Amino acid sequence: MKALTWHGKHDVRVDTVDDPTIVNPRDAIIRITATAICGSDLHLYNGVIPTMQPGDILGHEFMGVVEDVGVESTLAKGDRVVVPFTISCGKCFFCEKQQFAACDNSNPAETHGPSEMMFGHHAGGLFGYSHMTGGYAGGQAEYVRVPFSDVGPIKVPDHLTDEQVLFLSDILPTGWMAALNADIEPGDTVAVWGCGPVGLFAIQSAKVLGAEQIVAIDHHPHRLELATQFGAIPLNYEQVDVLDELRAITAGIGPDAVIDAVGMESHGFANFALFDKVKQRVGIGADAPAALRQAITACRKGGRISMPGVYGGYADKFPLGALMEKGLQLKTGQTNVQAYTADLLKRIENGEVDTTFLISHRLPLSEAPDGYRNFRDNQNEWTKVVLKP
Amino acid sequence: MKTSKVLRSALAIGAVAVAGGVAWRNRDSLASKNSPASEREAASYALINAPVETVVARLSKQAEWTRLLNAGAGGSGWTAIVTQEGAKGTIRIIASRDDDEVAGELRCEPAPGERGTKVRLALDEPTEGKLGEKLALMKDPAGPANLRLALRRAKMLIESGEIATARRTPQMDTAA
Repeated sequence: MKALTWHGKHDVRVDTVDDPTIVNPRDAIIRITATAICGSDLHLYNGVIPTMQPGDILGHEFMGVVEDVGVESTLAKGDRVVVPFTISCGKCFFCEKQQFAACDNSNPAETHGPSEMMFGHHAGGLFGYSHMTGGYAGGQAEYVRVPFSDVGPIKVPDHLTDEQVLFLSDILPTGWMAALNADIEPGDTVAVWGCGPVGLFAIQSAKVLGAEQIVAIDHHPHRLELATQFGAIPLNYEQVDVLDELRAITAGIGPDAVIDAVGMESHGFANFALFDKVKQRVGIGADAPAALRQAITACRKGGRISMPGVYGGYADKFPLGALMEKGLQLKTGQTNVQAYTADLLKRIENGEVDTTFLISHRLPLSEAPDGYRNFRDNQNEWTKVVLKP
Repeated sequence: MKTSKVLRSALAIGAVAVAGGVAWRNRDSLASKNSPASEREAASYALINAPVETVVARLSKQAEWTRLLNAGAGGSGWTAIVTQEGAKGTIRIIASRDDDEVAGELRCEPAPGERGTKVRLALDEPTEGKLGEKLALMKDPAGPANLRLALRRAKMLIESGEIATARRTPQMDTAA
């Protein structure tokens, strides 16, 4: 089959690789009908996520049609499903607590080492996202093997198009969980750093959850414009002083909740940003958390921080003092996708949540390398790339 | 403690751990959730994934039972025999393959907070003590890691019914 494979920094290719087959009883094989490039895929593309290996198949946002099933799968051949990017057994202590992203059994034992060394515990399994999270083949391919297919994939009705439901695989529930983690209350002002796909869905979700004011912070005019359709107040950090503006918008109090939808490759915000970049370039596992630093500084006393942005290593110049002295609460984590998909599917069906506005480009799988390059270099216009294998 | 079920699972762990090639005293532990008996049966069925070819168990105070397992990927041919059933879920095992033989002790006890079963494994041949462990490490530096891997795979098997792997086809020997 054809699949998009990683070969190094800024080097992804469409290669011919072995077709996947059933390995374990709960497996399913999915024929991919739509898959997307995620903003977090750019961290892989930019070479800042450790434990990637040449030949790894990328992609963790995908959906398709069931082609084959193991004896214990609850899916049937022909089912049309969206697959969560988190691989979860559904049986362990964490899955039973709905903390699916922390699944104890989905990351193969032989790949526990790096994440245990860095994080203290091994990570859960993810599709197409380094060997620290299992080394699973991703879904930017014609076919993919889906372990624990009785837990993850959600069947979708025929009257919904692929593009309406594809983002249930990651960015929609990620934006949704980001807003939930902000513990939004009536009257709240919520500030969101980053108007990429997750940030925009977090903004949309914050609106659904009743935020009074939403502030969107980015430097791409088109992405800020997309945010305004949900009533967000746009702040271009290249044109205004974000902290001053937030104080003005909130009568000096500061946002009740802040959401960092940028993650480990933040830029701008002069303080320490250059220092971060140098360290990240050296390859010592350093994160560049400029947006998070500013979010913590901006947040009101006793406020909440939600951090859906991906971090993979270590951050310094981290404002622990502000976190403690202001009594802030921080919630973060890979998304527990399976906990939200059924609810979000209903919200898509009844028109409460729309995801299609985000898609800017549709490409065949063969043009995926161009899609990656443009998604990185032309972020203002290339807001979301959907690949059609 | 659901004795027979736990012992059966523990036996599987012992066999898998031995298959990891560990041959000295070492301890590791894992917690697995207390599953209903029906799920434990399913887990036992899924032992066909385990890297062992045959497990023969003789429980001293129960009827003899035998479970033959198909060889999974990396099947090693070890045979594990329960030689003594002790108090509080402790069993002694002897595992053998060709001319190799290793003895050990498995202990199962409830994990704190009703969070499953804690399983400890100690293999006591051929070395003991800190000096012995160092000598064993010189002989096989991967040993402790192998034991840990084996226990974790056993935990996966008991809890989820299968051993997680990133292989895309059964023919692929290592993670993709």
